[in-house]
Amino acid sequence: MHPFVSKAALASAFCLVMQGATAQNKASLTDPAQMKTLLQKSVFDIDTSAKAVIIYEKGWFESFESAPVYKLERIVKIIGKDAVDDFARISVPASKRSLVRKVTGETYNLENGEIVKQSVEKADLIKEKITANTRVTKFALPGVKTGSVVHYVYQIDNTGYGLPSWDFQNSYPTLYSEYEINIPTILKYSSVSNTSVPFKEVTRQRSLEDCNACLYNSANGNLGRQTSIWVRRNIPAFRTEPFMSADANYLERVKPTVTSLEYPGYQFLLDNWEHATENVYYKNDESCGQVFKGNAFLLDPVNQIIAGKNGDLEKAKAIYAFVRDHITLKEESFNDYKALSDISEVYKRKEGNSEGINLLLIAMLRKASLEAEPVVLATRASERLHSFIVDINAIDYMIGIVKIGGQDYVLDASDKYMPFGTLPLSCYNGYCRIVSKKPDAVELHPDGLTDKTTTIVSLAPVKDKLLLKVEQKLGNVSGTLLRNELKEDTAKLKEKIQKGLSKLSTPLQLKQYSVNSLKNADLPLVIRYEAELPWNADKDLVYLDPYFDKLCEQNPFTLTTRKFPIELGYLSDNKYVFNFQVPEGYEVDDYPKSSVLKLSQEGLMQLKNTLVYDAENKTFSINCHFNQKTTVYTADNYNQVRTFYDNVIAEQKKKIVLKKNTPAQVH
Amino acid sequence: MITLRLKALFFSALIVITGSAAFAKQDDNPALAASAIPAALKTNAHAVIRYANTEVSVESLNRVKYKRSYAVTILDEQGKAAANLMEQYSQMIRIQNIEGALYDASGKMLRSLKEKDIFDRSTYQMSGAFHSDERIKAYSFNHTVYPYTVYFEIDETLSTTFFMPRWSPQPGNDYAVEQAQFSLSYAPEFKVRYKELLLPPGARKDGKDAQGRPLVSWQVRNIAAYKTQPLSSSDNYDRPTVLLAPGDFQLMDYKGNMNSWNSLGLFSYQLNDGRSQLPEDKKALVQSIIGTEKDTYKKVQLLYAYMQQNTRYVLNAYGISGWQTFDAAHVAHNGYGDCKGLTNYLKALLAEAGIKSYAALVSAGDDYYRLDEQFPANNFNHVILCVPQAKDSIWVECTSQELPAGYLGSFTQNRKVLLATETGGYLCNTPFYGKDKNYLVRKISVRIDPASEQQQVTMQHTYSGLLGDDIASIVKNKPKDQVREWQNTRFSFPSYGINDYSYVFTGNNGIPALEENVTATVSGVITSTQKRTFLNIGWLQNPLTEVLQNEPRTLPLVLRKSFRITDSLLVTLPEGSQIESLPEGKSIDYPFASYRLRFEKRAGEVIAIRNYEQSAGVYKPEVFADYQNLYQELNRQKEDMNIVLLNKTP
Repeated sequence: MHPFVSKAALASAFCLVMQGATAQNKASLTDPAQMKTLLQKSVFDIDTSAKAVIIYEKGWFESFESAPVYKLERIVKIIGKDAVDDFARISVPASKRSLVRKVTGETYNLENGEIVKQSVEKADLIKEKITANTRVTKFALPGVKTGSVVHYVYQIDNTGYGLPSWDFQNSYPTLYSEYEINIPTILKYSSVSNTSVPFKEVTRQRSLEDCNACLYNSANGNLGRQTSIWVRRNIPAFRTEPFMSADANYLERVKPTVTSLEYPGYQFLLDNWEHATENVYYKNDESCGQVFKGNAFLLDPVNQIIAGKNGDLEKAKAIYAFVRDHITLKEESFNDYKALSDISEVYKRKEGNSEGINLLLIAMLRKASLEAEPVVLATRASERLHSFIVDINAIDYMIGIVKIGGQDYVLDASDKYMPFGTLPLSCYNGYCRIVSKKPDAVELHPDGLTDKTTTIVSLAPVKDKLLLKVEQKLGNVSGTLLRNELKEDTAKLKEKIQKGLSKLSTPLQLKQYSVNSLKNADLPLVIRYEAELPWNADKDLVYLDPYFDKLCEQNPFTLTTRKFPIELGYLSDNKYVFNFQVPEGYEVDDYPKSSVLKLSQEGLMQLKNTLVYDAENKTFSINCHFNQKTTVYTADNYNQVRTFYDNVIAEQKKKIVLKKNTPAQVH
Repeated sequence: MITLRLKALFFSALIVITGSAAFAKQDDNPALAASAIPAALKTNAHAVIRYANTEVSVESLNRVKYKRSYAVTILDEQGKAAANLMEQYSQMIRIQNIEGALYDASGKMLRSLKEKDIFDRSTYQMSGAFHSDERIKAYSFNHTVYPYTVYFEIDETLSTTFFMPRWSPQPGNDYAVEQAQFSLSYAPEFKVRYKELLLPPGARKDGKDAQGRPLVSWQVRNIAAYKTQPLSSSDNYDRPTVLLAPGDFQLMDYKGNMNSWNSLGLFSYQLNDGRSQLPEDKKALVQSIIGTEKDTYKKVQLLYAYMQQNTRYVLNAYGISGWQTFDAAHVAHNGYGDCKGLTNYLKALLAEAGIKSYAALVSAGDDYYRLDEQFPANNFNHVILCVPQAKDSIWVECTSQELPAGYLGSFTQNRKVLLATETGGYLCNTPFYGKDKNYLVRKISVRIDPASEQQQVTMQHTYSGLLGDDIASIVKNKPKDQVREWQNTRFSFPSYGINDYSYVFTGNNGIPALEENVTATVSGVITSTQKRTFLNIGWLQNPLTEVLQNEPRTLPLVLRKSFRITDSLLVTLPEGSQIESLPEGKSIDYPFASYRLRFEKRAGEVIAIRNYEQSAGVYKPEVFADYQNLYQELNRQKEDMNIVLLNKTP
């Protein structure tokens, strides 16, 4: 998004980079005995089945004059074939203005008990122009195979804006990871670190040699520079787990964030969200600033849309429907960002990117005298925002908020199939900032989003077959997702229904299907269909599966142990109703008992299943209701969650048994 | 190796023969109005080619002019990819000029493409090549009001005749074509050959151009779009196509002739000859590796294993290196190479051991190009090694670090390849792995514990041939925790956790096999109603591919693999169980497969035995319904394969 670094006029000499690293983990590079040991070693205590171990890793960031420099050094031991590809081909992308230099790489192998070292030659460096503005420097390390130790270094001059964050944790275990920044004292920053062992601040650089997680800060007022060095040791590999939020929320890392850039006559504050939102968004005329202007051109169109509407809520819905239905979302091509986010262009051309569309929506709501404002947020793919630290780089989406009758409605008009007041799933990611004169925040937690789906099934004899009738009303989330998937193609809907039917235990023939509207997002999506089951009236016993729409066929939670909490995207509320008219000559001989399944005392997840047989009228019915009270489940509770789903699956696997009436039993 | 992937070429009529006026981009063109498209061409289509004109002119052995222009109407959002321009170029393919224009539904021109707007990028991260000289020019009008029409004109010059453009007027099944033309002209001494596939009769006209050179032209009209049918593709092209191939040709500084497979193979041999000089230390190493071993196969195995442990695959394809191998010394020094480099390296190692071998050019992958004996052409994208023997040759896939010598896996099995030798090229077949080699035998057992919701299941599997390749690759390479995660998702139990697993890798006459033992704790097996207990044993995966076709089947059913799966599932029932019913068995034979399922009751036990044997082949369209029905029936087994026991009455 918005670059923060402006040219800092500094009167300081370029000094040597302080050697913050300890010698230990780099020792193998200078001591053949240690290198030999490392080459022979194939099992490491930190993780006995790892396919590679990062022995040493260090990042440097320096920013003086106007040329920030980034440097990386890494030593890796390769243990398994798979890891060879991850470390043998190195690519360093950079912008046109940057320069990748001082690239070195060596591979060490043990051949017949002797250390053999191969180096990357200058001729092996490939410099490729990717696009007009991006470049990449690539090299393949020679002779890399299982057992090798590789070592490479590179530097990027003039890296661009921002203080880089640093991941201590990688997809392979890391024995030593260090990050050092050297920046002018006129840049104030704070940092958030996310590590399993908290950083201990040490006063002497030497103390870094002896800790699992420590931080050394120093400042030299005369030279106007400050240094911070973080050292972290013995970090296990990071493994993403299913049903969790962005890796970045859990990966061990440190994020130094600039809070201000100040020198006489100039001040740029990002020290808190109020200042950051104001400087980056509110005052930005190419972005949110647009909605706070006069926008006279919108007056007539808005008045036309709200003519005859009663009350603010109706007006808001009408404006929302107009923007959603008439402005097409267009992905940016190569250089049309401006046209797609300028609201007068968006209105004129009837197309825009998501920011442009939502800003137009807000401008129009404001023209109707409604209290509407832009909201910036980090989507679920991005790291969550927090109130206590400004993280502009994590922000990747913009929506709108309107306050009517004391209630807040969140809006995204860029999705053709989104109902009023609901956002795409990815937006429910916690803390968001409202961009307005009076700074404010809003929390969009997945717990606030419920997907309520009702499926009503009836099964009754018709001539010599059974007729199945299904009516399914989908909730806000599943309905919007399905509409986006089908894109008004009813043939695709038919295929989807047929694929679902083919998974059931009886052969079903789809007879007809209908849907209320694949297009109109303001109507909850309702799908109806009918199918026929063959009915063999000669059989004495029939085992019938009464669940024609199951919650799940396989347990979605497949890991046996879990480290991170489960974070679902929304709450599910599912109702399944089944009404069965038993065919002539048969009766229900056997069926499962009603039951209630609960996850934990409070019923954080619950399945209430009621089965009733009316022997006189020969009707059988099921009412099965599944719901959740929270989207977050701690890792400690994982086994209970898994077992709960086991029980849900088992419950919906139960059959009902029909028996042919013997003459003596007919009343 | 780089294969030239050319998009379909459509052009407006510039041909002297027809004498019609040139179609070029103009300010407004009512002829492009969407309403002018015949209704029949809109069925099943998301885009319609209105006019397309392609010209190939072979001027010399290293200069081929290639011009295209076309107008395509995008009917709806699903056709929007058809509006994008994306052209690959490289050292040997140069783009001289690109023009374009955008028209609305009525044919009014909205804007034209300017050179400076064209996006140029390398293929970094777009292909498997680590370094390649291929670049892309791309553009999108990014229009969102349907229908609309785009027009593009691309002028290219190829500085080689080693690979030639092909003409496919209908780029995909969801395109309809109003009119498309193609013309080929060449100096008579170049004898450019062509092959027509699936063209309507009378599409071709033979003639001469203004200079009196041969000029062959083709025209097609009103080709309708169609729905694809699953499992139906058996040949190289499903739509009208004209292929071109040279007689004499030139590739950078090298010349050759492609009129016969023999001459093409000779060219490849000579291009790559003389690059197998091994460094002295490697020569000595070869001798020490083979020691006193006499058997040829074992020697190949030893040297192949050495190469697998000490080299890896890296594709560097720029300039001539797309076709000419890096020499053996280079591969030895760096420890990496591409398919040509690694093949050449192993060839050099074998030569040092006194074993003669040849590089074989092949079209690899599941969706490969079937070599056409009557039409020698360069359709290869891979190289493997062949060690000829009196009886069965030994084939080696040099880019794999885990296959045994002599086994090719599904990547290059069962197809014709071109062997490059000093006396020219020869066609031969790679081995076919049939049912006797591709099989899976599963023995599963479970002892039902009525008191528990979870049951212990023991599985013993033997995989042979193609059926085991993917598993072997995962188990051999991935770290333990990833293997465990994979184990926890690959079976179709309703819910389970793996307790333990072990693997033994074996093999039979060069066909790899593996034995797998897995124990798991499984849930969702036992459920109860008030009077009964249901044991669900529908755990066996469906061996058929998912298919769904609503429209009547008109194309053959094509199955690519032959294999057999034998399952036996032993369920030990609790003491005193009273069985009310067992699932039904089935025995049926189809032209493409046979399926047997039976249940046996023994004292305290039930055994389910299932056999499925499939034969690769091309089957009549009527047979498809059987395939689909069998697929659906086997799906149902998941829910309806139950052993039903009566609960003990108190």
